[in-house]
Amino acid sequence: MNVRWILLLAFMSAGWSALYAECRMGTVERSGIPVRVMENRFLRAEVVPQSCGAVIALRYLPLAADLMPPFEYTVEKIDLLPDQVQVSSGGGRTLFWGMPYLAAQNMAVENESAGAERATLDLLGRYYQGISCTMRRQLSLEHDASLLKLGITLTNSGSTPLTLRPWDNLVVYLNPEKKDDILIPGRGGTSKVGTVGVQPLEQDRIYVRGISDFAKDVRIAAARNWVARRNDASPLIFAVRLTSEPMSPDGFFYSWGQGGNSPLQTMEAVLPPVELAPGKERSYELEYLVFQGLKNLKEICGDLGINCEVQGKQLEWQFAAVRPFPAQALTVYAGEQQIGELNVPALKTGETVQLSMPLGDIPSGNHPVRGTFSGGQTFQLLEPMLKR
Amino acid sequence: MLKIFALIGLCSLALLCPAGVQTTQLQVNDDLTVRNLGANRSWDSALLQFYMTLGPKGAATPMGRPEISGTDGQLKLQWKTPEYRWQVTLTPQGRMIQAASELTNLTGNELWIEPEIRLENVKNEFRQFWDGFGHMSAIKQDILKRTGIKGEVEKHVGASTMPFPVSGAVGEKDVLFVGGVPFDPVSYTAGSWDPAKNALTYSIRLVVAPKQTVSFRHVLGRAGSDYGAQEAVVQQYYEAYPECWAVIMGQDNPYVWGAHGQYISWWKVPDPEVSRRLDVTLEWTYCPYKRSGDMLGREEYWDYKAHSPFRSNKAEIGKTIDMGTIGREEYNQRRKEIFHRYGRRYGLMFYNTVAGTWCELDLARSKYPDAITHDKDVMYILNVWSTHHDREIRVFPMGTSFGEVFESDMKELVKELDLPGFALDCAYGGAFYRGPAVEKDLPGRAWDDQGKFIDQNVAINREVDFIHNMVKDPKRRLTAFINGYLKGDYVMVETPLLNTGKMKRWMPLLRWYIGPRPGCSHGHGFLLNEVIPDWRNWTPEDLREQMVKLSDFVILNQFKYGIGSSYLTQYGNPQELYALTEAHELMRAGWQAEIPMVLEDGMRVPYRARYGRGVNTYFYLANSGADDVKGNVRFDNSALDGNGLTMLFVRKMRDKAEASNLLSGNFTQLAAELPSRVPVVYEAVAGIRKPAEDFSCEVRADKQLNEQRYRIQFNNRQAFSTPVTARDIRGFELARMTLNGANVAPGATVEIKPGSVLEITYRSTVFRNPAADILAFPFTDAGKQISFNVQANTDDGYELARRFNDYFDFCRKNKVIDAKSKPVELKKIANPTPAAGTVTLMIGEMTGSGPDGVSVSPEGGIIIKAADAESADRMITALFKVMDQRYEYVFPFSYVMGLKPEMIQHFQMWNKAFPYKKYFEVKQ
Repeated sequence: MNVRWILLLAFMSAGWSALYAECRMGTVERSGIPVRVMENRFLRAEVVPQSCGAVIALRYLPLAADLMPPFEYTVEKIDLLPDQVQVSSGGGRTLFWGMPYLAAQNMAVENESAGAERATLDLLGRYYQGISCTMRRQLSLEHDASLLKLGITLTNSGSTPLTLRPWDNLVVYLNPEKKDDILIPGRGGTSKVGTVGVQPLEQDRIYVRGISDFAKDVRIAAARNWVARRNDASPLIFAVRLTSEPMSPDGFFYSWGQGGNSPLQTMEAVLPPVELAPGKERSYELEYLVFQGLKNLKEICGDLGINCEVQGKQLEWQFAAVRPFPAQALTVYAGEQQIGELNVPALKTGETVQLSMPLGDIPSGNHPVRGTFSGGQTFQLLEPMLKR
Repeated sequence: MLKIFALIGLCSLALLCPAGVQTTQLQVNDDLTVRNLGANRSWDSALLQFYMTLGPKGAATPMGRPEISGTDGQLKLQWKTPEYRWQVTLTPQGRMIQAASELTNLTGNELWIEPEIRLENVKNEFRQFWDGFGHMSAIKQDILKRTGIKGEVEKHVGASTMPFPVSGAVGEKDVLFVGGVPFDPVSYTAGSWDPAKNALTYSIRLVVAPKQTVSFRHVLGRAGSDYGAQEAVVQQYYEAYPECWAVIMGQDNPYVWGAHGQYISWWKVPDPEVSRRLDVTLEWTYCPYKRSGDMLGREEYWDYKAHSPFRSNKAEIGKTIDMGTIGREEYNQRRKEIFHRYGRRYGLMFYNTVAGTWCELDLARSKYPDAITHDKDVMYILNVWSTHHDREIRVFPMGTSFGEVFESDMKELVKELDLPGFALDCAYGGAFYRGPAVEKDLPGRAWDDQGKFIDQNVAINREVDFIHNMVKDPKRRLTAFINGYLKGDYVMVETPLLNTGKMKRWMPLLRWYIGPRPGCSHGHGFLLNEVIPDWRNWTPEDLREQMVKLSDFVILNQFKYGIGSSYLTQYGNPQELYALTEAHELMRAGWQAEIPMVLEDGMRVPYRARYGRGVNTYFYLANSGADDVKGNVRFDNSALDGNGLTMLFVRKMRDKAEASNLLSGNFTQLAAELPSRVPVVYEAVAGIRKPAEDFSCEVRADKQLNEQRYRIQFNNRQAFSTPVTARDIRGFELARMTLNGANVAPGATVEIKPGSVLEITYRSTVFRNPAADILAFPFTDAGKQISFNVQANTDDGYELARRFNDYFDFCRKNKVIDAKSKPVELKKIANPTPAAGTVTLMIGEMTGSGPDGVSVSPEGGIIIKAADAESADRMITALFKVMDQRYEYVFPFSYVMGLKPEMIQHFQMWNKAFPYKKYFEVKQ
């Protein structure tokens, strides 16, 4: 076998793998710079190493829905100045709350791989955001999942302690024509998270920042680990979830909206602060999740997005999966009292099921809806609150 | 006899018949035809028409032929309809024509009107339409139009940009424009170009109460586009309406002709010598109150629940204040002491609750609900805003319950705190108030399909007038320091010059609005993290080299825009402070929009600006490239002066300069040498009426502290007669002018024979001696110990004498003199005798002791003689600037916003400074 044959076989083998690989990784050019593209059957994410490793495009492939504004990267040459880079604000990037942000920081590509199980991109940035901090940013897309994982590791590379409050700055939209509602699970009874003032809520609830919320921005103490957006002109719900640690009590959500008819309204998780001693590191994980078919989102439990509404004497449920979900029984409680059981069928990624359940007897008083899946996962909804 | 009567009759007829209105640019005849009088034309003639739209359902309807009357130089047009009587008076206004309207509502109902000026049937070769914003649109088949005044929303200020009040049709050779007058109380304008009808329009919407008469102004004009069409039009506005950009108290305003402190005199205890050496003359005193909307700090509003935690570390004059716990009496008492002690000395401009346009939400809703501006197109509620702890809502400070309290609060504060002025943040328009006050007879009411409204710009402009008129004492009028583009005396551009993105977005429109007024940039200095995000990966050597470039970038842009920088970039960069003298002098002369300058082919000069007009013109050029640039530069005198003068220029240097001027046609040509990264300024020194002959002349300047001499040798071949116009030099008076040695009266016509020499000499109004004499005074001895004393004849003088200790305290602290040197000895002596080694301060009207000023006495003492303490104070400041040459202090790099300690450590310049070049001096 000569070299030509070896090369041909190697080429065919690579092509075969690429053809049948569930997850793909490639490089394209956007606005004049190289961009890594990660793709599975559900999502295509574009990541720019030259711009803090930001996710600058996210497409939900089954509906060909683009969820981020177009990316622009310009370099201006001006006498006496280093090249001046301007980056559009769309997409998702990691910043630090309370510090000036740099959108055009270059990160080294440490590793990139794609295979049947996942596509992974590892980026490394020293002096991230201009401070003595090294950031490792790992993005991964699993096969058959409608979610993008972000793993962040921060290391204090300086000689003095650092206090950081990581901030997932995220500019997305479900519909470029109409402003989304931002669903923020808020913790009531507080006007302050650490030293940061937040909008006081009387009780825990999902704060909906809609088109009639005219404040430029809002900060809400986190009652859950996720924040989401909906739009009645889109069948999708987009959520961000912190999976590595609780957001409460020291994390909060932030949303900033441009005035007028602009569709831009951000959804941003500002994580609990952490003191990093010199040389120490901190890791955390986030997910960008896309649910199809849910009208609203009340909770995320494992790989399911859950909507639940009281309609007359029925509880109307919707469950949407971002990964394949095996059939399970769900026991439902009003507070501590069991009020019924549902059989949630197996769901494929991207599927939604709608189920009804009679309310039955509810103990007197106000009770949150709780649920336990037969697989062991549990949840408690912030709303609706069952009353009798 | 009959002939005589006929002649008289004809003359009378000529006087009675309207003749038309004319400027150097265009002419409006009594048949309302408009003729282009320019030499180079993209259009020839047009028909002037006026249209009217009544209400939202109305259509623009031609007014038809008016009754026309008038005398030479003006035309009066009048129409009467069942609804209104409209009179328009056309008069020349600079190089444009003003159409001033008075419109009376004849009905018992409110009228919603949109009067429009329109130029029709324009025979033209126009290529572009200018709608008033910073850009232009190519003319194709469609109508190009702008409706309303809202421009781009600015995220930070939560309001929007506003068009310059113009509609312009632009050709290669010239531009035809119609428009309004900047800062007039107007809430809605529109403009268009219709290529099918060749019609250019500009309209204003107004609401007129029953029987009310309203006044409003339109203009029409023509400008050559050789040096930029938009710039030429804006320039005509500066010349036609100088009052729009006039500064209160003019050149004698003590606050606006220097740098702003950027909190150096607000967060910290002001330091007299730091401020003086940085030429800081005013300060933005951010939020000197607890609750947004309550500047007085009323007892009943003091304790309240803020939206966010109260600021616990607010810095004010060297003290950190916990706004959540400090008591009202304590805060207000301290504030009173601060402003009385430092207010006028350091120009502390009281920040007046975002120009009265934002108020704490609960306060607004409970006390001033009628004042809330419910405009959701722009920022409406801000959860974190001016005070950092309040949730604030936009309010309208004119004609509302809040406006009444706001004005009364400002009056009260002026009385209580003896304020020098106010700081008006976010002085922008673009937020429409539609609350109950629009029913009142307020200026600037407009309408649209949602009803009546008034734009925020009307209220803020009126607020500036209110501030200006609050104190009548001509020396103590209040100053308005604004952040925005509206009326005011000193304008903040809220971005560092290094924020190229913002500068590109805001300029040139913002600069046109600022006009010849002084101003500053404000922000985080070098923005090093943003400008060089990977600075840590740079070697210290590379970074040092880049830092000098950044500082030069600041200098070159400061001259380009005529807005000052601050200590944030000056520390460690003495070059910036060195250039500040010229930058501020040019700022005083007034930035101009049009730069009538032609460069020789191949010259690359990215930085250019023009300041002043006529014989007081300055041109700025700078080459930001790595190599020097040489070539001929021609200045177009016809665009500099409306009186046909030809200006003679020399490079502006502090000691001496020479230049050969070639006077060619309308141009003055010089051979320019532009060293890399050096601001080069040419100053006009005199103006003459040039004959047909082109010739050269040699101009030489010799400058000393007490005297400036300008020598002009003419190389003409044929004698000619001309008046000689000498320029003005601040701090100097014209002492004499001679032609070939014979005295010439200023303005007198003289005969310039071939080879004539004209000499113009100015005498300082402050200094009687050259700097060397003053610098030879023994302020300190060889051991750098203080070796002089100060004697003063009055208590005021004794107080002022303390400034000498301020001066040398600073020098001692910064090791400019010996650390153990004793203080300056101060004495009060009723009739002091000047003596060697003594500074004598004499204040008051005294006879027989020579003119006021600073002089060195025959005995070797320094005498400061002034009519009053204020004048003496100014003289001491001037003297100190001279002394700085001997007691030079270079501010080293230190931690400032935009430049962190670790950055300075990284490029190894902590407590050090870069060297600098004395590039405005021949003797460097």
